[in-house]
Amino acid sequence: MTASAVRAPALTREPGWYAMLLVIATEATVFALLLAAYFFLQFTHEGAWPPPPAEVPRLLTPVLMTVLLTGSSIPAYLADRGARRGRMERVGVLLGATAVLGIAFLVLQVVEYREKLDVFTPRTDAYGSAFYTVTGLHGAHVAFGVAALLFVLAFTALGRYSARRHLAIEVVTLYWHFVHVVWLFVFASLYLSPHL
Amino acid sequence: MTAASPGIALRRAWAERPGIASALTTVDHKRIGRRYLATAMAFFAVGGVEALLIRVQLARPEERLLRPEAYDQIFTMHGLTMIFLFVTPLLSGFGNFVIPLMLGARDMAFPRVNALSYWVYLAAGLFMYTGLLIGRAPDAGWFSYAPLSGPDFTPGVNTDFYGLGLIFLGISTTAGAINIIVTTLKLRAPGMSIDRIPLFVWAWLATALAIVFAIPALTTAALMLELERLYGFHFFDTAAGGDPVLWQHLFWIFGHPDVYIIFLPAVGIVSTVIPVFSGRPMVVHNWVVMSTLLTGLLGFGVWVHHMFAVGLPQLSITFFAAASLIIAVPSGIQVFAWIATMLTGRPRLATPMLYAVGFIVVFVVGGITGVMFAAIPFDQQVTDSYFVVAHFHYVLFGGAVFPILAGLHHWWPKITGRLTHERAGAVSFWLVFAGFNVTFFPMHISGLLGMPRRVYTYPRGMGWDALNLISTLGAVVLAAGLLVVLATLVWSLRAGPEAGPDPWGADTLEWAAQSPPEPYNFTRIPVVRSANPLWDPPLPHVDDPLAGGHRTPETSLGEGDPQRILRMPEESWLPLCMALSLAVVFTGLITTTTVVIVLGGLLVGLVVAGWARPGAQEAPA
Repeated sequence: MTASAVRAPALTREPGWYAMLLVIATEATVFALLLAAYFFLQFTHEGAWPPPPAEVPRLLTPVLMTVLLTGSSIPAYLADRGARRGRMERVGVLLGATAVLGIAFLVLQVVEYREKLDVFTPRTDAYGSAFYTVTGLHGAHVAFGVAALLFVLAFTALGRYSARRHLAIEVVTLYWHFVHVVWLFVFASLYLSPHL
Repeated sequence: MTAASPGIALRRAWAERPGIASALTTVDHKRIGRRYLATAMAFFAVGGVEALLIRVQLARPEERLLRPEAYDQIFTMHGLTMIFLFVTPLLSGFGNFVIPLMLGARDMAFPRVNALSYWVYLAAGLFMYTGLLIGRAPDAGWFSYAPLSGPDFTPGVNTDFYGLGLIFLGISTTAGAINIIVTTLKLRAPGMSIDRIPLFVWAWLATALAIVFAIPALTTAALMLELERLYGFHFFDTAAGGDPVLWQHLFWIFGHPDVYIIFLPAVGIVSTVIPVFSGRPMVVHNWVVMSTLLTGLLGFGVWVHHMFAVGLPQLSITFFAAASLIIAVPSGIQVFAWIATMLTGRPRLATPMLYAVGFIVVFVVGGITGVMFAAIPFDQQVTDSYFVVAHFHYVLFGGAVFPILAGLHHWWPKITGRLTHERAGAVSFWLVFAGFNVTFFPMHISGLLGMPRRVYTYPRGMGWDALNLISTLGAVVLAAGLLVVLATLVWSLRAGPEAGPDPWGADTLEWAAQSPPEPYNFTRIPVVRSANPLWDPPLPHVDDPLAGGHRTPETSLGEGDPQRILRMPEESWLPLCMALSLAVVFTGLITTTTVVIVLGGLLVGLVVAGWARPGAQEAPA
């Protein structure tokens, strides 16, 4: 047994954390393929992109959404670090802050959908299908992430996690970072690239 | 044995009570592995009956036994069953049963997820077969090309059993793969550094990594297809700006890696059997490991060779043709490593070895026709003909079923504690080997003579009649051989001699356990000093089990240094409840009943919450 093998248990990741990393890898592949499909449809399409009646997307709301989700990764990171260092007292607040920012993101997404659905729907054409499938699937991931954050928040408040036992917090915050990073790709592909 | 007392304590901690409740809640990797094997065998039998129906229909021209609609469903279900419900789950069965034992662990890293993988597999398999029971099975071929599979050309529920069923099944495959990866990386016995991992585990590791990145392509494609079919989206519909070629890309981004997902664990079996029955370690062990990993990786770079006839730009198909030639190199390295191992060892032609050697012969033929497809003009000539059918049966039946039969005879004594009949094993091998070649070799010729695949019959006088009759006669011999295999195994269960822990004089750790293994696998967690631990001189006996109670050691990624002792979960109803809740969701989807979908979603949420609730899993040990 080498010295590195007897590090404090809190500093080595548990098997469950590696499993979440692999779940993220497989889900990230789904998003990568959906975005690849989006560009495939764009490049095989003749004429204006996005095709009418859709217009080049306005950026104000999605930029705000990007700011919210990027901001939410900070308390998520601090919550994970706090739990791993055994500072459980701050973890609840940090998880709550992450969830609130996530909820705000979802509210803005609903606002955006209400505007867009008047112009085009998933059944209008391939662009509409791709747009709503990608953003909808991502939104579902945010919603699931918020539910998971609230779930671990509740058990944090009940004092059920400790410096030694808090795998759920590590796993949920890791998942949240993934949801954030995927959004950056969604934002760049669906909202920014049509402006190029 | 002086280790009686730790054995009794371990038995108390690990034994699951017999009975129906325990059958539904078990998390023991060996019970789950056995279930995978039995269920996959049942699907193999069904898929085999479908194959025989196909062969009877094609035995002579103008046959009218099956109507075209029935034939379409039968050949589609044959492909789906063999690929998705037989081969991969069966290899998962070996993986489940053998990998923790080979690694010197007491169970998989996530025993409840393991149970979930099995239940979801069973539920998804039954879901897909519901279509056949109501006479509405998928009928657009196993790759269900758009636009044929779209709502305009294939209305009705048939193809929805395909799209939704594959999404459902993907959950099982992915969860199983992640479990195998983490188990391999973190639950190895102390001292099992990465260069000492057994070849079968390496093969499954490469496979599992390929699954993690390949199944999403199938899921994405099926998701798009079902959104189009059920909810009126447009992805593959040219009239609305879609493109059917998009389906082909997504399908084959999954489909080609899937060839290696099927093939690599099978090759892992061969790399396990050949050293054991040659009485020496694998020649160039590390090269075989690298070839396995490289094959898994390169498998992602060749998908377009399934699409040479689509009309893609010349430059891009040339690139994929080159990549398809390169992938023959790692396979070649493995073939030569097997041959060198046999030549430099003392080969014993026991039944597992017969099947392994038979595999090499058949696989080389399939590999050669595979390389032929990389020549684009040749591919464009024979695409969609029986030449392709011949090729992929040499690769899939030859490359997977022969190794599976090798593995079945190899590990049967470990799984059941009993030996099989050697003479019967040899008879089954020669029947299967002859039947296989007589069935599939003539298809090369009928394909070159222009016979297209997926036709329910053909006119007289095309020059295909005799070849098809020979294929059908071969199929009968093949089926007889497989029945002899079944009879051999049933006889062994009833009357086979006791096997003892290590009947073959093998090198890997599963043979250090009892046959069949105790619920806790090993009384004392083994300590590993080489890639062939059972061929090393024995260590002095120690009573300390290293991990007592319901626990197993966790070790470091690279060196296999002990890190901590993991508490393992007990039996649980959660996996079964989760699979049933998912079945509710998919039932809602296929009937487009929103209420049922929402209800199923709520059930899934409840089970997830119950699963993640900090209880036994999180409480201090």
